[in-house]
Amino acid sequence: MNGRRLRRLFHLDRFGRRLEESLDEEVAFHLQTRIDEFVAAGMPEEEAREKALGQFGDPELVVQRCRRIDERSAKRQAVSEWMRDVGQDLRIALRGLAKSRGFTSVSVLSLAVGIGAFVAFFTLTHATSLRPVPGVGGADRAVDLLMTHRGGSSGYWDYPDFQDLRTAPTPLQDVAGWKYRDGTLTVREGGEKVALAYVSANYFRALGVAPALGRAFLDSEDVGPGQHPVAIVSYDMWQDRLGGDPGIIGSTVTLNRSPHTVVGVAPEAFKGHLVIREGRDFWLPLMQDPWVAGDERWVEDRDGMWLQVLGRLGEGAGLGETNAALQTVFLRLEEEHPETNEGRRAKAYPFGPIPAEFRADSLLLIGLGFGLMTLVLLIICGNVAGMVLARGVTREQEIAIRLALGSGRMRLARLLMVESFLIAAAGGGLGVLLGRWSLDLAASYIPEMPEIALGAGAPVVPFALAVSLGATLAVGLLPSIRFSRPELVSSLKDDSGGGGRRVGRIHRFSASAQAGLALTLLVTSSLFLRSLGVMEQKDLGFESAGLYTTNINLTQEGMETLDLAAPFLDRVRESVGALPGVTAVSITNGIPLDLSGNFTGVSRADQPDPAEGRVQVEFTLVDEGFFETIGTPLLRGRGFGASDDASSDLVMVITESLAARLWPGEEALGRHVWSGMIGEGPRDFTIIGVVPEVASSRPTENWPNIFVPYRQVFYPRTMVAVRGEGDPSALARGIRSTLLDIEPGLAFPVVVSSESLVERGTGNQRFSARAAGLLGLLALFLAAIGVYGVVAFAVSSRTREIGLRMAMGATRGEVQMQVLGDGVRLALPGLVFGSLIAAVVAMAFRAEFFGLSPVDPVSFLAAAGLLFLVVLLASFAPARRASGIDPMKALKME
Amino acid sequence: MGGVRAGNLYGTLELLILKGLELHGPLHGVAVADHIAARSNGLFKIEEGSLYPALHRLQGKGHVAWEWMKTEEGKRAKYYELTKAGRRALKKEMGSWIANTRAMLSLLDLAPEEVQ
Repeated sequence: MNGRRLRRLFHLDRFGRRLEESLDEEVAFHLQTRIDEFVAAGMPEEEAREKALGQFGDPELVVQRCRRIDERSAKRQAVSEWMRDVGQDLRIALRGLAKSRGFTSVSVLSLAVGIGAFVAFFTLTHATSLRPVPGVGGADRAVDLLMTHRGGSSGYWDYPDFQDLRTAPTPLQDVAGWKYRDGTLTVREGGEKVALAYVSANYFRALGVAPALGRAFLDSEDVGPGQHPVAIVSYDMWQDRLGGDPGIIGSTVTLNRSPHTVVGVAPEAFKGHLVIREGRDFWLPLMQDPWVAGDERWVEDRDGMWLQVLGRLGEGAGLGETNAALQTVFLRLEEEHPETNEGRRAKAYPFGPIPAEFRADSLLLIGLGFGLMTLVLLIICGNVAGMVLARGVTREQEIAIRLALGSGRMRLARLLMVESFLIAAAGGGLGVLLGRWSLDLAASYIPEMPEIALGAGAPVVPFALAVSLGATLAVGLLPSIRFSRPELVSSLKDDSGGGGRRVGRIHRFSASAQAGLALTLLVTSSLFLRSLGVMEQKDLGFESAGLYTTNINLTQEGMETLDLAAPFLDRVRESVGALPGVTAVSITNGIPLDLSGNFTGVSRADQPDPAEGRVQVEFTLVDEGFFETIGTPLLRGRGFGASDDASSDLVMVITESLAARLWPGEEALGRHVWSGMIGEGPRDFTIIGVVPEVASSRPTENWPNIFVPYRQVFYPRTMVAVRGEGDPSALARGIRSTLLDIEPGLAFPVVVSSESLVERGTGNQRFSARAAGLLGLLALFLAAIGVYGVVAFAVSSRTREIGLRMAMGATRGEVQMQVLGDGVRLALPGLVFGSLIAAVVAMAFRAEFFGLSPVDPVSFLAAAGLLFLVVLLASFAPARRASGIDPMKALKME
Repeated sequence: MGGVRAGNLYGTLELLILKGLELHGPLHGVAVADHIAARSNGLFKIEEGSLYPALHRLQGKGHVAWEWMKTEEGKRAKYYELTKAGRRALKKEMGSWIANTRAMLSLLDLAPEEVQ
């Protein structure tokens, strides 16, 4: 209060003045004694005073120096007293914690779990998403450039737009293209898979990366498809596989079966500009890309989306002006190429380790993750604070004695804070270990998890320290406030003796809130799990089980044209189809979810301008066996036949949604559309069939699909799709040897199952669902501890009352029921509020929950039921203990 | 040889004060000054005022404690008394003084008995 503070101030003030007076008095006494001596020796009074002062020096100065010395030593003394007190607190706290081992281990362990999870998540996020990309110089000036279409955004670019942007005036100093692909490196006799990146010559410059050895690519190596077989090797590849000899510059390596001259070695730190994808082993000029080298139309076709683009801002340029300039460029391109570029734009995003097209999703997930972690940690802190409170009540006598002995209330609060700090520090230390251990464990289970240099460079330890300190405050503050207020201590006394309200309000509230938080987490995670289930059951429009594919690059095999390739393809179809277990086979250039991605536009042919009403679509070049092979039924019309070839009318099968879009409410069969593929101008196709929706080649995008016979539109990159039964590896072996029988010089055919492609597509959501599910279980476990703590505490503080009731004739069953009822009553408000919060959270993340209403009743009921069960179980042990109380002992206790 | 100024020998004043308190028991500032003057036969010339900062410093270190008492004449004066810590400090300081002195004497090639 004000009065007290004033009094204290006054007191201090008086104390200070007393000090001053005593100093003056001391000096005065000295001077007076000397004067008296001199006078007694016969000196005149005035002279005596002079002499005394002369011997003494300046009294004013002496007083000043003494005062400074006194002040300093007073301060020193206060500090040392404080340290002594804290040391004493530490000893008392340690002794107390050692005495109640159960309390200490449960609270330290639960804090360790919470902090460990936080640390693990932070480390992972930091390594993958937050830290700058290693090896990239001046990353703040690098940007990712994304192309957007009317239908949404896509990471991929066509080559002509990329070239046009490079030559257009923008604040971008460099615009670089890149394409990640797998390839083979031939060392002596064996071939092995390596990670390649095809990049434009300015790629390294745009990323501020200077080669460790040799040089970067020259602009002159960026022209003429397939004409400059040069390569830059990664530092690790050079050291580990190629001998680490500086003489490698100028030597030859065999990549994709053809010799390449090594012109440079990348610096050690730079392993590729995407952290979450595996590092690159070689970089090659963009014009060496097998697609480009195989078919120059990839550099001419404005609908051929395959390239990814990044850039470097000029000195002092900002994102805003860059985007404005991009808008101008693309408006111009739209005018110049209306048939392809309508609605096409590009946008610059800050450069980061996550590919820009996933970044928004990733950041959302990261935010969600941090939110969940904080919730879990809050629950844990609530538990521990509850237990500290519960302990406080049983230590009530000790506290009363300390207060009576004159321990200040501040001192008491500090003792509790020291205790909380010890718990949090132990929990934090253990948590860091736990977090690292769990990451190691995860790394051994998840092969695609990025390599994380744990601790190295990551500010994990300071982070853990900050979290632990936060936990100390969260755990210690509430009990400190509570016990340093005497009226509350006495009210707790009443609680234990009388029969009134059993548990303090704050305490009840915290338990209730925990139940609510746990419910929120449970509902969220069950929504994740359910939405994953829905997604796995999502109709992809084809049957992935039993479907296998293998790619064949016909250009490499010297069959660039249909005339050259047709006999080969017919034999493949025939021989593979005759294999045991094979039920259907098709020659196609793609299947759903295989990431191939060929795009074009279609528009109605009953109007003269092909650019009008153009719809961007994904196209696939197929044969007569395609729909049967991928397991997609034909809804209307007919499929393709072997007779749909170059000599007959151009035909096309489209998906239902595209039919409805082009001819709303009308029959599409027999209608005509304009479309052109692989750089060809628009031609007239007849719609002969309609199929249901089929998943796009890219799992996260939704494009309408069209299908065209390869005998009418040919492209020399193709794949054999096979539907088969029985052992997948036997099938794969059969397919491989058949292909090699037909064409012994064929590049080794790799057979991929379509299911693995589907799995890759849903991997992200699967991971979130697992993580959320794990967190939900954790929350449940912690809520159980929390409720248990509160109910157990209630029972122990009511021992006397329960004993009395049993002495009065209450049966064990009655006592048990009452305690169980207490637990349920405790959790109920939490359940209600938790459900409300969970509903709000679920609404906020509506987009994450594929195909589910955010207020999914099954998820809510399941979570609430589970929590209820756990509350009952948690109350059961204290209930049994209560019913086992011996009335005589209980009554004698005090 | 003229008078030695106490300031020339850093820390000497505190040592002298401690020694005085050990010999006489509790003293007030004037008595401490008298003791030092008498013992050194007037060799140490100190400004009496400079005793007080030294005394307060010693109090801060916990080597002396003070108390206000009546003098024989019945006046109020502040008396300083050696504490246990002060006794220990005195012993230690004397030890190092003797060691230093021995070292200096042997450096100057003098035997202790020559010094007088």
